[in-house]
Amino acid sequence: MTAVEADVEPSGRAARWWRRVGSVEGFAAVIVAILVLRGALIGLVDSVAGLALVAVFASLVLQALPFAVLGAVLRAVLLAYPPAVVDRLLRRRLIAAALTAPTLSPVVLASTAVAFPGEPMLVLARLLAGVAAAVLAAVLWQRLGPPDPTDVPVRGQRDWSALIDGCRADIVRAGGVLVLGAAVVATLATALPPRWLDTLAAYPVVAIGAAALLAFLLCQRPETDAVLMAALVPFPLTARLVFLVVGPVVNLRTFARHNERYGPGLAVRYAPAALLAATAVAALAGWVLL
Amino acid sequence: MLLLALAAALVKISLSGVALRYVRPGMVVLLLITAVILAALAGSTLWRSMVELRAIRAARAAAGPSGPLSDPDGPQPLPEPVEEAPARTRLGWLLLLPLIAVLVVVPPAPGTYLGDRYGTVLAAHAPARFDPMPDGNPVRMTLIEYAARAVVEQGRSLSGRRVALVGFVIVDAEGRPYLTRLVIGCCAADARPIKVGLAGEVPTNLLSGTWIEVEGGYTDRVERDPLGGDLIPYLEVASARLVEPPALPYES
Repeated sequence: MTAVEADVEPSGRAARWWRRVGSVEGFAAVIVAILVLRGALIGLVDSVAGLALVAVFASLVLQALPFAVLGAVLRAVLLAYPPAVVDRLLRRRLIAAALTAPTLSPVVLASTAVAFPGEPMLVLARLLAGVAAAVLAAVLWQRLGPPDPTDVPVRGQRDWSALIDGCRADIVRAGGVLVLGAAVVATLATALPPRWLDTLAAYPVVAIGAAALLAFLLCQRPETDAVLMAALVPFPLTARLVFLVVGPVVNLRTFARHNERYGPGLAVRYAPAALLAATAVAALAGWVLL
Repeated sequence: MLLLALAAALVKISLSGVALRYVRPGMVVLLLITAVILAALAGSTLWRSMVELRAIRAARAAAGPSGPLSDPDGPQPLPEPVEEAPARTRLGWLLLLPLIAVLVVVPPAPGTYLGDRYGTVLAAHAPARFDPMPDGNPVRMTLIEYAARAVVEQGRSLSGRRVALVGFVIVDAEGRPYLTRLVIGCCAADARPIKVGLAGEVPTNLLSGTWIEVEGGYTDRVERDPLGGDLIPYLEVASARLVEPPALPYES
């Protein structure tokens, strides 16, 4: 979407020519290249296994993208019209953590319910364990980290062009992350020998550990992670719940951000603690509810 | 530009029915809504930039033909986080991959691949209770329904009835054909096969992946799928014919 960004800044400065090439012309060039290389692209995956991988990849992206877009729109709307009741409560840190837990978002709950039809308890468990894990993470942060004033959300921002730009950038970023995750999961689901995943999933502790690790590495948005987990069919429900609870609390992206902002000392202490806490909460919720 | 292309692709595959290879029918509406949102976001930015362009042209015209290339009093470029823009752009380019997947490669539903790879999943999808058999001769039913009535009810409601099933053929290592259909919960990504063995008047030389409609009756022959160990019931085939792949490849 740099195409439009370049158009927004028609300053015409020569120094910016590369930015323009990176946008409209670049996009056109890529489209032409795709059309020219059409045959080669198809040939690249022209086997039963290759086509199955692409089909699973496409289905993951198509299934998750609407929720990623709706999630971005909802975030922009909440930025413009923050719910008034929440305002006072947000000053209490732990209540704020509970109220802003991503698993409370209707878009997240809807995408989870659609990804796992016939498993309403999984949706409920995600909601409860997600809130609990968010509060636990906040407690951990109070103990380990510095006070973090940047977490107080900007309220009532009504600059529509900024909101739209932010929403668009949010969608592009979420889409890119989704594409990466979908590619990894489609490969795991279709290219590995089925026995591997079956074996992994047969031991609950191993499955839970693998799910937590995968959630940490894939850095999915909470709106899209349920769809990716649905593709890993052999995983037991509790391991799936762990994946859905851990990802929104702690992942490689939050780790990198903490590392950058507060240095490796804190990041290295906080991430494993939060990962363990979220995994434990989710496993407990899975044991009780599922 | 990318979001507009994405919106156009979503509309195209939704209206052409290609989307049904990858997601459940209910998702198509959501895909169209998504396309509208994406197009609106991209369109509003485009419109805004056009307005700004016009303002700049007007400013330039006012400055005269020998004026500077860009008006110093004109709208200044938005301050851009230099280190973030390229990263965001690089991630965004990844959105071209699904575009290539659904517009250029357009893979079919992964029927035979999953059918060969995984065992039948009847146990996980068999209904707990059965409605009375519908009228009709033959009775058209899904593979799940036939397999469940044949295995769970031991064919009680099927006996003496003629049924018609539609599915694709997979051929096992010994050359035996099975009628197969994929069942999905979420989308094509969690699809797994339901299999029904074919006995009786089975056409010879059936190729894997061929879609056929078979008519026949219940037989008590059952075998265990070597993959996964679920039960595969058989159908005593009276007649079979080739059919076009259905628009909706999955059962759910």
